[in-house]
Order: sequence, then structure tokens, then C-alpha cells
Amino acid sequence: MMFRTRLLAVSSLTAAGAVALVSGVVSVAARRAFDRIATERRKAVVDQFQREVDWQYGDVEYKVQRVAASDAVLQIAIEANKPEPDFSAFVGEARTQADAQALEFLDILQPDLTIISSASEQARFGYPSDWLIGDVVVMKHFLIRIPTNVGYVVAFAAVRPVSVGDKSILVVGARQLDSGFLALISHTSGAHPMLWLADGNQVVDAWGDVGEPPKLAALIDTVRHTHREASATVQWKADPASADSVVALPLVHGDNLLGALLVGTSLREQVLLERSILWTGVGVAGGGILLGVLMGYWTTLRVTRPVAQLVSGVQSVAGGDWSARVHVQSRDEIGELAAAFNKMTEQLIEQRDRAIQAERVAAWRELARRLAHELKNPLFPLQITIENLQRARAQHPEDFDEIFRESTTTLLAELGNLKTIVGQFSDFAKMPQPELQAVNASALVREVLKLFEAQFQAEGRPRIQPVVELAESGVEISADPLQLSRALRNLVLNAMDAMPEGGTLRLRTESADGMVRIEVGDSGQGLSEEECARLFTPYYTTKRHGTGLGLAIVQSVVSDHHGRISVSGEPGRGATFTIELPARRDA
Amino acid sequence: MASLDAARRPRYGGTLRIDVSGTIRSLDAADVPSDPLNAAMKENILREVGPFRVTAWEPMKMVVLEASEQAPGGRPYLDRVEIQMGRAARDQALDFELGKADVAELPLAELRRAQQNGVRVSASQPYLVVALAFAGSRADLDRMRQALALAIDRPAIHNVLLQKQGDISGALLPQWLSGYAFLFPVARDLNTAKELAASAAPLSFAWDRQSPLLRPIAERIMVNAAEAGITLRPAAGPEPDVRLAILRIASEDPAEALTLLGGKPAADPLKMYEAERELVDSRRLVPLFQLPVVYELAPNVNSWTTGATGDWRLEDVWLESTKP
Repeated sequence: MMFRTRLLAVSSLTAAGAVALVSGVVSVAARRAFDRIATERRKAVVDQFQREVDWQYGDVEYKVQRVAASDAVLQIAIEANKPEPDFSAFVGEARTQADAQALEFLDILQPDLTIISSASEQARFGYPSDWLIGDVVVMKHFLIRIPTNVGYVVAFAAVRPVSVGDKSILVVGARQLDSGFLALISHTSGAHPMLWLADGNQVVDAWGDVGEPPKLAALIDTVRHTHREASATVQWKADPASADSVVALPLVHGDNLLGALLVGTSLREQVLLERSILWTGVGVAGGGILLGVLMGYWTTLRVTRPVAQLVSGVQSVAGGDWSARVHVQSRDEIGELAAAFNKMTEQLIEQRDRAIQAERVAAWRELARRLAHELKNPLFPLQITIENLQRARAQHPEDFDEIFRESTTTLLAELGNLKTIVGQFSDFAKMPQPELQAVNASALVREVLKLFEAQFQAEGRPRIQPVVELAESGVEISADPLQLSRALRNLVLNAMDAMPEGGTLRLRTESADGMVRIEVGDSGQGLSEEECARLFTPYYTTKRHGTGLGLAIVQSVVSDHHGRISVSGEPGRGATFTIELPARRDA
Repeated sequence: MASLDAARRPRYGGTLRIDVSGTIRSLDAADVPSDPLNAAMKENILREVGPFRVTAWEPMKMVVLEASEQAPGGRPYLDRVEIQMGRAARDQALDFELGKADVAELPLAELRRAQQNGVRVSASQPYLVVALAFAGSRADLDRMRQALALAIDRPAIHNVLLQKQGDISGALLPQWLSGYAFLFPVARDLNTAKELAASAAPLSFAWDRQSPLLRPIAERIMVNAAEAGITLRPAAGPEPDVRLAILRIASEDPAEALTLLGGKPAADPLKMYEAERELVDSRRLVPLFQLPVVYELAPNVNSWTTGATGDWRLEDVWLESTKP
């Protein structure tokens, strides 16, 4: 991964992470705030419900008190104190009083809870009341369960004893906790109240029977088992905005659970607000991330531009252009790095120039040394021969002619050597430009090999076994056959020199990756790593008698053919020279 | 005293306004309902027009009678009689309180209150029979009829709901008419009723929902039945298992009255008893009460009388002037 890409990724991830973290924190804080608001709202609704309940109780108490204080009830109480009371005249009194006081249920009872008059069940006179009154007759008000034609209902009830003489009667009035009451709560609180009745296990709301919604079953079960307030979030439809926060308030009479008031407060506004905040957060986060990425990209460009310049400069230097410079204006570490780079390249050039100069001097010294050495060798015999001639002329004139003939022969031979040496130097200096033409590398290798076959098989010479692996196709190159043949001959000669005791000469051609490879290997004494590195240096030789120009000429020829030459080998395991030349494109 | 006598002397003139809940079915005394169970109280029978002639007739709504100057027995005291039909009990009470009606029917439950308030009332002889009529093809119908008859607490209904008006009776013909009505049992036996009704299916139960008389009785019967383990389910269908109905005694002659109710003709009381017993069993009836019809009368209405079978004697009625 590029540095710029990595830097961009890191900066983008950092920006995204920061925005996500902030969004998360804001979301959590908002949710907590909403939960707190929901809790307070729920509490307000519950308080509102309690106030409504208290009001209902108070109203029922007041009306029952009004009934208890009426003349008709007083007459009933008086009748109850007679030895043989006759309540037949009062059988409709409860209904009359209930109508007057707008009470849904009103019973006038004897102390043993036998019905004297009942507003709701007039026909039950003389029968015991089947209201769930029990021992609560001493209470001011209470919740009560009342059987009706359509099942049990739960009602706010109040009881008042009316005492005249020894015996008293009871006036019990009640108002049903029904859809009307739920509508009242709904109107005053804005909540969605529902009533669950244990008898019948049905749920009603202000608009009527809603059956037993399965979504409320868990909440109802909790209340049924604990008889305590419970709450839950109920999502009515797939849309989360349809959810209500429902508080279940148990309606308890003694140990009996009569039902529960389910007060649902809509979470629609909260959900919509949360959703709005969420989408706003997503938008802001997305924008922030996008902005962060853009800023990161811009920053990355600013930061990596000098780095890229540095990379370009380094690549130029690596490519040989040591004059490359990096123009960075910043004064930060990158600027310092660029300055250091520029300084380094300047120093490299200086060092290179010094090295070239030194190498040039060394080459001249080597050339001088080699010339001195090469010239000194034939000069010494020349000097000796001439001195012998002078000495013979002076001391042995009778043998002078013989000595002269022998000495001139020697002088001519040594002069021939001098001429040869001078010729090699002259050839190296006058290497012509190659005249390229289509050449089959394998054919060229075969021609070179033929030149040496006689020497390989000559008597009295160490025997050399050539091993040839030549590709039949794909080895067409553009080359000057004379120069390349000379280079190959040099390599073959070099290999033969490396095998004074005889050995195996390997000649191999192949084509690969658009290049034609020619290998010349021997099984000689091999080369050290240092020798391999220096082998193509002019005038460097590992031979006792050599100018050190042979491989230099080979390298020069190969280089003129846009190829490259390398050598590999280890001491004792022979050496292999490999020439790689571009394959001819129209081959 | 002379002035008092003069004040009480019948006077001619005036219009008598009567509210009734039912209809005036016919002015022909001989035209009696063919099915006494379905006639109920919806029909008032004006047995004889007598000295009046009908001048206006709106079926189911209104009848106007005017005095006939050529009546054989002489002109009646009243100039005119206006009868409003199909008036609900509440409307009758309002008409009476507002002076729009001189005579109105008074529900039995209101009788004591009206008397306490000083309202003049006039009750007929008990000629309406309140009875349960069983019908249908249930196998246990007779057993359930017996169980329900034993489950009903007749005295409580009579004392409280009927304000002790009329008579408790297990017979169709009233005691005052037949003389043997006491022979039909009326006692409550809750235990036997429970045994008879054990594991019985509910009975559909119907009554005239518009009748202020029948509704409380029906509700009480359901309470009594429930105590005995009998479930009576109110039904609005045309063929309930049990129906609370009112039969009308249409004749002051017991034999004729029994015949009109569907019994076999009988000459002597024993035969009549057997005929009535057979009628009750064959029609699967449970007679409960014989009730009168009670009217509340305006203070200026004098000489209002009804026959033994509830027919009005309008020729004797006169109105006292309210002006000094």
C-alpha cells in the first residue's frame, strides 16, 4: 500500500472514528434524555390517573352520602327497625336514587347484605348481594367487582351505613371503571388508557373492546403474578413509531386482583425525534466523514507531495540521473529530508567524479604498468641480445656472424611480440561500431565452435569435450556477426585457458522473455566472488600472461549490441559467462 | 249539606280524556281474541258503545266518542270521550300530571306511591292472568315446566313488584270467578326444583319488552330460576321455550270464560276444574297471578267503574266542574 494511500486511510479512519464516537455519545445522551423524559411523562400520567381515581372516589362518596341522607333511605332505615319490616314499597328506590345521583350502581342493603333495593338488578331484592364487598364495608371507598349481564365489571365504590335505632342499613354506590373513565383519562392526559379485567381476560379502551392483544400478554402476566405496577414498551405495528410505553397499574381489592389499568403513552414523538436526530446524526456524521476524507486527502497531498518528489528524486538517482534535485520549500522534517537528499546527491556526484578520476588515474597507472610490463618483457631480451652482439663483436669476432644471425632472429621475434602487444592495445582502442544484421545465435555459436574443433581434438593438448545445447528457434538477434563471433571466440579461448588440464566446454543458447541468452561455461578452476566482480575491468586478468583486454573487449561488444554479460562461478567449480541480447522483433 | 249535595249531583257535559297503553280492538262485545295468549293487554274492550256514537277513529292511535241524544236509556252525562291508544306508561303519567288525561293506567309498582300522594285510583277485579307458557319440542319441557313452577317465589313478586295487588294463583280462572282456584298449587319448593332441573340445558325466555308490568316479573323469575339452577336466557325470537304472557278473562261466566280461554265446555264446578286442569297441562301453562287493571283518576272524574272483566261503564261517568 502506498504511503499516500495509507496516510489517507489513517486520516479518514481517524476522522470517521471521531465522528462516529461523537455521534454515538450524542445518541446515547439523547436516548438517556428521552428515557428520562419518558419516565417523567409516565409518572405524570400515573399521577394524573391517581388524581382521576381520587376524584372518582370522592364523587362516588359524595353521591352515596347524598343518597344515604335522603328521606327515602331514612324511611327504609326506619322500616328496617320495625319488628316485621316490609321493604316492598322501596324496591324501586335504589333506581330512583341512582338516576338522581347519576350512579351506575346503587344497592340498599340490610346489615346481612341482603338486597332491599338494587338499581342495577331490581329483581334481586331479598337475595344477598353478590358484589365483592366482603369486609370492606367499613372502608370509605374501594374498588369493587360487580357482576352484570355481560360479565363482571370493576367499579369505584363507596359505602355508607344509615343508622336509625338499633338496626342500620347500608347504601353502596359504584361507578363503573369503563370506557368513559378511560376516555376521561385519555382526554385529560393525552395517554391511551386501557383496562384489563381479570374476569374474562379482556382489554378495553376508550373506544371499546380490544380483545386481548397478545402484545400486552407479558405485561399482564407480570401484573397478574406480582400484583405490582409494571411497565413495558409495546410496539403495535411494524413501525417503531407505533410503540407505546405502557404502565400497568394493578386494580386490587384485598388480595384479589380485579384487573389492571394499562396506561399507554405514545412514543411516537420520541421515536420520530430520535429518528430525526439519528438521521441528522447520520447526515452530520456522513458529512463529517466526507469532509474528513477530503481534508485528509488534501492534507495527504500536502504531506506526501514532497515525499513523492523525494521518491521521484531517489528513483532518478537510482536510474542514473544523479543530477536529480528535490524542490521542497517547507522547513519541517520533510524539508530537511529533501535538503539532505539534495546534499546527498551532490556528494554522490562529487564522489562519483572523484571515483571516476581515481579510476581513470588507476586505469592509466594500470595501463602504464601493463605497458611497462608488456614492453619490458621483450625489451629485456632485446637489450641482452644487443649487448651479446656488442660483446661478441668485441670479444669473439669469429663467432659474430653466427651470434648475429641468432641474435637478429631473437630480436625479430621479440619485436613481433612488441608488435602484437601494440596491436591488441590498438584494437581495443579502435573498437568499431557494430553493423547489425539478422543473426542466428545458435548458428553463430556453431561457427565459432568449428574454429576450435581441431584444437579440442589436437594431439598433445589437453582434451576438451564440448557440450552443446542450442535452441533451434527464437534465437534470432540483430548483431554484427564479426564482432559477436570475436567476442564468443574470446570467451571460448578464455574457457580453454581456464582448463589447462582439459575439461568440459558448455555452449548453450535459449530464448526467454524477449532476450536471447548465450552461455559459455567451463569446468575449470572457477572464480572467486571478487574475481567475478572485477573480471570485466580492462587490463584485469587472472592469467600469468594476459593483457586483461579480452573480456573487456567482450563486454564492449555486448554493450554495443544493447546486451549485458555476467559471469558466475565458484572456485573449483568452473565459470559460466552469460550473454543476454535482445531478440530480434521480426524474428 | 244542601250545597254539598248539589255539588255532588251528576252534571252533564264535558270531555273525558282517557290514556291507555293498548288499543281498542273492537266495539263489538262478541268479538274476542281467538288466541288469548297473544291478545294480552294490548287490547282494551269497550264492550258497549251504549249511548255514545263513534265520531272519529284512528286505528292504533285515537278514538272519539260523542254522546247520542237519541240513546235508548237517555243521553249520557259526558258530551265527549277521547281515548288515546298506545301510550307508554311514562307518557300516560306525564299526560295525567299535566292534566292532559283524566284517566290513565297506573303501573302496579306505582300504586303505593300514587296512593301516598293522594291520587285517586280505581282497580278492577283481577281479570288478567299472568302465566308462563311453554312451547317447543324439548323432551324435558314438562319437567322444566314443573321445575320452574316450583322455583318461582310468587309471594315475593306479589308483595314487592305487584304491590300486593291481585292474587297469587296457580289457576287460570280467578278464585272469585271459579271458587276452586286454591286447589292449584302455588307453593315454592326450591329443592325439588333443583332436582328436576339438574343438568338441564338453558331455556330461551321471552316477554313483551314494552310492558312495564311484565319486565320486572320476568327479571325476578330469572333470578328465582337461577337460584334453582335453571338458566333462562332472554330471547327475542318468535318461538321461545318459555314465554311470560298475560291472558284475559273475557267473561263473567266461569264456564264461558274457560271456554274462551280454550278449555272444554263444562257444566258443573268439578267438570270445570278438570277442564281447566287439562287446559293448563295441554297448553303447558304455569299460571302465576291474577291481576287487576288500575287506573288513576283525575279529581273531577266521578262514577268511574269497570266491569268484572275490565270493561268500562262510560255511561255512568260524569265530570265535576273545576270552576267554583
